[in-house]
Amino acid sequence: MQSIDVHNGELRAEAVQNGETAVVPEKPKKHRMSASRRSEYIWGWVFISPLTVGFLLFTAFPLVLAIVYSFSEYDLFHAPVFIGFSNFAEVFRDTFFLRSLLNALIYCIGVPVGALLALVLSSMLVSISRGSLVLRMIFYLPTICGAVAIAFIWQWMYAPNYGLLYEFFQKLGIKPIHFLASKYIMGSMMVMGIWSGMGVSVLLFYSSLHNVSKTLYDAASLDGANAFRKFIHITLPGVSPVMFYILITGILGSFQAFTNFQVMTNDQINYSSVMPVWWIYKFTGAYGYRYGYASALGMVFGLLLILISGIQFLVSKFWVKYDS
Amino acid sequence: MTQTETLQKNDSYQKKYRAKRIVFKIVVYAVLIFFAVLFLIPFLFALSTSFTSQYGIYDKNYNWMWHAVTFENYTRLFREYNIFGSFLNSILYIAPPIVLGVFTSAMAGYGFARLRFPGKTAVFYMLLSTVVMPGVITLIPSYILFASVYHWANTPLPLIIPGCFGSALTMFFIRQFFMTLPKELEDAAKIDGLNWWGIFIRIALPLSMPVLITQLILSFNGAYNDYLGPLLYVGTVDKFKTLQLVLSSISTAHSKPYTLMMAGAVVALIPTFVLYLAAQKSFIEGIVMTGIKG
Repeated sequence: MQSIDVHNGELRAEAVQNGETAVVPEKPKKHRMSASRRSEYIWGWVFISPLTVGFLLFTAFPLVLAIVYSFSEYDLFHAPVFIGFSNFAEVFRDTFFLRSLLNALIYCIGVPVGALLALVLSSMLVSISRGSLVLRMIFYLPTICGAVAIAFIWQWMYAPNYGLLYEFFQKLGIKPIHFLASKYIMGSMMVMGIWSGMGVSVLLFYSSLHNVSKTLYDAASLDGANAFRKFIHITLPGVSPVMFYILITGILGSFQAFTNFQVMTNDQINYSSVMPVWWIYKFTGAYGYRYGYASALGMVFGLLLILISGIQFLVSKFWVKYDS
Repeated sequence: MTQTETLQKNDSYQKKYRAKRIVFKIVVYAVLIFFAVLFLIPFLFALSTSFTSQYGIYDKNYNWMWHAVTFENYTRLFREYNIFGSFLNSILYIAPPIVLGVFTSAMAGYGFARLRFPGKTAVFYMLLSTVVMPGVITLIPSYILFASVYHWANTPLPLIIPGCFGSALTMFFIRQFFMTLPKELEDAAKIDGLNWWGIFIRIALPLSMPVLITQLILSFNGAYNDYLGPLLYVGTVDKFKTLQLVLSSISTAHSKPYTLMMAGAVVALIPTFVLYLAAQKSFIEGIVMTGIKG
């Protein structure tokens, strides 16, 4: 059946054009679907089918398995055994996991700090005409760098005795600290995180600042507002949707940080730097093949992330100003 | 007050205002350049170290900004580590999922944007909900699925196959573009005898090229720098290792050959850096559009 369709749903035009199927008007209204509509239905499903099949095979199916396995004991080699809620009970007694959540929370402090710095820098970038592109490219450079290379570079920056920061502190006459020692590692990781994620925030703020109305600033200038007040009352509300976006994705990303921690410490898991995804990963081999328990950890952690994002959405109602 | 006096006063006010602006500009540039240098230093330090001899960095008089240049780290890197092979692996694993994946995502994006069919809204929101869902929930179950159901353990298939079906996020951004196309375009194409597939391939897809290229580049950057995926699925099989895995193996808990590590980091950065320079506009558009680090 081939149909050369004119406008969707225009039955008369349809019937005239396809001489063979002109019987259509005789049928009861309910069953009358023009060939053009039918072909649209079919093609619609054809277009979305690869993505939908992929979703079923590689997202929906694992999601169902996640629920099944988190209630079982499973090592890949023997059949899974249903054990009720005991995996979940263990999750909440798992001091390493709880500590990893605390570490992740600490690591998240870097997100608002980085976002604010990015906002200040991009406000400055908007105000200059020459060199803004080159500067933005520089800020963006760490972003194209893979997490492994970033961790390598900072391992060397932080290296005891010979690293750049160690020598810099020494030259300043400050007693250098061991940046990767358990006491300082979260702070050091935060600095690295801000460095590597800043470029995206700068780009986003930069394009959003261009959309903040110039007339608002002019009006404020006439009213005698200084730069600081303009920043608080015009810039901040203007970029608040982007700020919200950066905070929500940044916090989700920071909570799930894995590569930089794992590479930075050479996979030596430690109380002071353990992160949730890293801890979960460990149960796929290093700490026994406990896939059921790892699934339960992933489930609890994932639901926690959804909860955190949900809370952020609720709170955002009070401070994010969307344009009318 | 005469007119000239008013003018003079006005002039001095303007001068003061201009001076203030110039000071402001200088401060802004100073702060920006300071931060730009701060951002560049780790790269320059790494680059410089990669050209220093293995023991040079431990020398008391070592000056990272000015020292004898040696290529020994690079020759050692390519001799002792399978850089070319693993790079080839990376490309082989990345090419099919990003090319096919962007195509299938575009197909779905087109379907959702331009066609009407039953179940469309429900499926659309179901797919989109996975974007919000943290990936960590399905991390382990996916591993189990690939290992014990599909029997793909220790092969690169889990890295290649799922991506070929497209991604909901890519679909979403391409759909946003397709929604802006005028309907007259399709009507005209239909009169010319094209069916929906023909319209998609001959008209919609060519029009969306810039968006597709942006998505391709972002997908490449993401897949190229991915570490957890390859680590889980091919981490123990030497011949299947990706460049990132080989790179990470340079540093171990027992030895940290910094000069070699820096050479590795520089080499690993080259492909994405070249791509970034070549397609900078797409990169930046993509970031602004998706806000997601590749």
